[in-house]
Amino acid sequence: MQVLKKDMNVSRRGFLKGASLGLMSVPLFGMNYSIAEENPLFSPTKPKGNSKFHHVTCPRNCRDACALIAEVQDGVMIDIKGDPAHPVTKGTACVKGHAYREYLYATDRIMYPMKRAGKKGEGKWERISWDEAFNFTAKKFKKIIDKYGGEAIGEFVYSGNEGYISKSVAPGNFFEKIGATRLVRNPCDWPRYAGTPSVIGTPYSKDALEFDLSDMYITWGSNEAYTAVHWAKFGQDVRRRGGKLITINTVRTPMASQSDMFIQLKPCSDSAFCLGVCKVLIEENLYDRKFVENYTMGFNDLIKETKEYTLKQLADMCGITVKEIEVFSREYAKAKAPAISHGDGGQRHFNGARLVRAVTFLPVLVGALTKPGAGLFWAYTNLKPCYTFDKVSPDLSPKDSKGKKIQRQTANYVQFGRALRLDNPTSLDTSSASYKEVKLKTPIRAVINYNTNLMVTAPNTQLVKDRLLKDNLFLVVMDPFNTDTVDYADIVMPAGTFLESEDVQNDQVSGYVCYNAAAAKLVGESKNNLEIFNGIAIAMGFKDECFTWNAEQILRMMFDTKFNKSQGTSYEKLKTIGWVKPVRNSKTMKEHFPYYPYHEKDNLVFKTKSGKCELFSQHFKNEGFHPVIDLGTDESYYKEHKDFGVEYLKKYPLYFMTPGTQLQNNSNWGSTKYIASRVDYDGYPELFMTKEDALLRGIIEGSVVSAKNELGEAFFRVRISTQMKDGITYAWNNIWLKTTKTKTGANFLCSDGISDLGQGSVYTASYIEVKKV
Amino acid sequence: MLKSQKGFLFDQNFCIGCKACEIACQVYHQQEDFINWRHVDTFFYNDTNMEKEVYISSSCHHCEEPECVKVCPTYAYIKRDDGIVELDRDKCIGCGYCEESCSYGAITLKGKDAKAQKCNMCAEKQDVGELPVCVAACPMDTLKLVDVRVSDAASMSKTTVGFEISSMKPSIRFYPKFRSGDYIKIN
Repeated sequence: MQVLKKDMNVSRRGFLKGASLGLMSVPLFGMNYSIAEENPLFSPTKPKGNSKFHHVTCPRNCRDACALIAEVQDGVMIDIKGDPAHPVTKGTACVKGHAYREYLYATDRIMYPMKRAGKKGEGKWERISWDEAFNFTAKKFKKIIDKYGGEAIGEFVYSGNEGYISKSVAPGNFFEKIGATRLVRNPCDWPRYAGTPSVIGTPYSKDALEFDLSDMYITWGSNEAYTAVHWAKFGQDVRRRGGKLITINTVRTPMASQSDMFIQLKPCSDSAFCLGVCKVLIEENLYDRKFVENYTMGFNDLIKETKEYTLKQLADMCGITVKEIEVFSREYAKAKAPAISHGDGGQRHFNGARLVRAVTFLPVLVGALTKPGAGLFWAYTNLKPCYTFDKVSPDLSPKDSKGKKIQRQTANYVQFGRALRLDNPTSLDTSSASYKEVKLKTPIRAVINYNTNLMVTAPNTQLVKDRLLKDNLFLVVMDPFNTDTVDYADIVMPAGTFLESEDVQNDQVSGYVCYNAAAAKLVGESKNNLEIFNGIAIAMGFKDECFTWNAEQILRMMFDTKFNKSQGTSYEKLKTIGWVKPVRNSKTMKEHFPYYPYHEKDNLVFKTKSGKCELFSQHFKNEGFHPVIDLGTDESYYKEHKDFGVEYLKKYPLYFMTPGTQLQNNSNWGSTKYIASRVDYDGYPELFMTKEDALLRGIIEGSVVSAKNELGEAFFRVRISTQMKDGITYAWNNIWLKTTKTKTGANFLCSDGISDLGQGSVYTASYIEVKKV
Repeated sequence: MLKSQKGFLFDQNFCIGCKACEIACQVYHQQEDFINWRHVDTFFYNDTNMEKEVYISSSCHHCEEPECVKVCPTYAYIKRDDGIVELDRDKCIGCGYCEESCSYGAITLKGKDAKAQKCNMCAEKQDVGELPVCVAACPMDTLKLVDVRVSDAASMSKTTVGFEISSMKPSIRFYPKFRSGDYIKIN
């Protein structure tokens, strides 16, 4: 018989201020080992025993992908440290990575499967067995599929769990089999892949280890100190060596204070700045004439465009001085190996793709692309030849009578709230590059939320919440922790963390294939993603072989590529060393991507239509944008859009950004000891605003305020800051709602609009008004 | 004379204020959530017409002439011959004299047992040849463990933005200013 524990509020933990801290230890498989809330170890000694050391890789989808080593005794992780041998992360985790043991053995880990025993949102549970969880879910899914079809089931995932098995293979096979609605995972840096390739043809960045050869590091629309700490080290090392450090950002980041030049642009005015720089480079004859002649097309169009504006006009658009544009241009042209580190946050605007395109012009003009240590760097490396998904992701998709794959509808991450609407479910038309909003033919009746926290990470939280509260959505949440989304679940399945699951992932900056051992024993009754998806599949009666595979089988099949064989990369090697970097040059990449940056030495070819760097883009023109550099901004988007207009900006005059704090990432660590308390400002999330903006509204440091726009309302406590210019505010993204008094946060105010091209998110493109409560 | 005077050498020029040192310390010593022996503080100053932020990471400075050692009625503090100021918590009666005497606020009695607690420079780690966790945790290499006499011989600074030296002779040194704010001349 099942143990019935109604009213067992899963909030059995101390992250809510004032909650009782008594008896907080989590029993781990009968061992008396736990993260105790008391008894500081003033003479800390490690437990005596035989330690085993495992390679793990932090999967949080920040650029660094820290190589870590977990020390484990009897299945319990007693310590975790950086791998000192790793060339990028060099033996240190970031601030939050140091708290991984508290994360793994947190007091809010879900220990067993649970079924909802109260209203949605109440967080009342009944303990059930795995069999019950699988069977209940399978029965429900089957019923929905019978009545509405497979597309009535959707997934919500992303980001911060980059393991291939956890994010792609395990869920992928299951959702293909049932023919679910596909999810376009577009929150990150998708404008990049419209913008940069429109100029230089590649979605792939150069190797960030080249920074060791740079004599100028430009941090652009990025806050490496908080979001990619080892890149901050790269930048600082350039400065240490006597090179120059330049910051281009709307907010005075920690690295801005240390920079030799800080250019504080108005939000997303980067395109105007770039046009200004092009103007100076051309008019002062500072560009690389030979490179431009040989490898670009559309240069005359660019010259023409630079003549349309005076530097003063462009500087005014950016909110900076003419002198700043001139000095930057001259310094940039003078540098021998200037590197631009271009961030993701800086492109989450309505002009994201246009902005990225404009930034890509600069290394082209000064001929920096092919110089070692110089060029444009972002977070995507080409490791495609290292994996094959042919075997691990068999074709399970439902077919029509002719045996042809049935095309299925897609929802997208950024607009998941819109897809969840019953009256008017919509998403983007992915059949063309213009991504018009289209109606979904099958409304969504069930969702599995895994590797993410829908209530916290998706924009426009209120719209999401409206549907999550309804009984006509069957919500399965797989998570290690009692997140905000768990509260709305019908079935909760305790999922293992990466520290307990074998997997592999990519490095995003340099090109390492990174191994992740199942270092620690799974806590409580939790299972990892693979076991859970296989469990549901088997309960649904699926007999396909793939639902019986374990992680090692999958990884061995995934690595079985010609490329890996030629490089000597194998499962065993990876498991032993922890990370392997394949040699990628014009020879080894010849079959895979023979273009820049893997071109032959004397045969520089770009994967554009013309084979050259395209300063004139027919594609951008076709989509209604300026084919050279388009100067549209968020402000112009709102002003010109029929749903907003000038009156809207008068009503909501404060620009609102949602950057990441260094203490969290993608809602991970949201409740972790030592972390959660640091993002809490006496019961509220923080809202940063300037003194002037605060004074105008009778607000002082510490005031509790209501922030509003047409999407919703959220409550914050104000921090007065000098980091921004007047009219600009920001709040940290991904703060757990349940750690705040009003259970509201930044994403209630975040636009769920879509970037100009590339269907990216616009997290940093909202306007609000703020009032003292 | 002490055999050595271990101390921290901090590079304000490159610290990005990420707090990795602070949390690594809390995790290793399993401090209560609201207590952090090491803390990163932010200071503002003006340089070439721009307000800038700098950070100082500090804990107990293991002073050469520590007041806490002098004022403790139960002799709970000892100064080791490598300069580390160590606290024997079994002897602590929670009177709080040490907390009052420390001009750097490095000692707290706010823990559950209401006894004094502070940074011990991870003495037990150093005794087996390992670095203090804060030093090992810094991704920017801005915190180092260096004998203050060595730092002084290398002309390291005794003060920096946001830090003043006291008569207790704190064993912390700072890298001198790396370069001026007008390396790139804008005007």
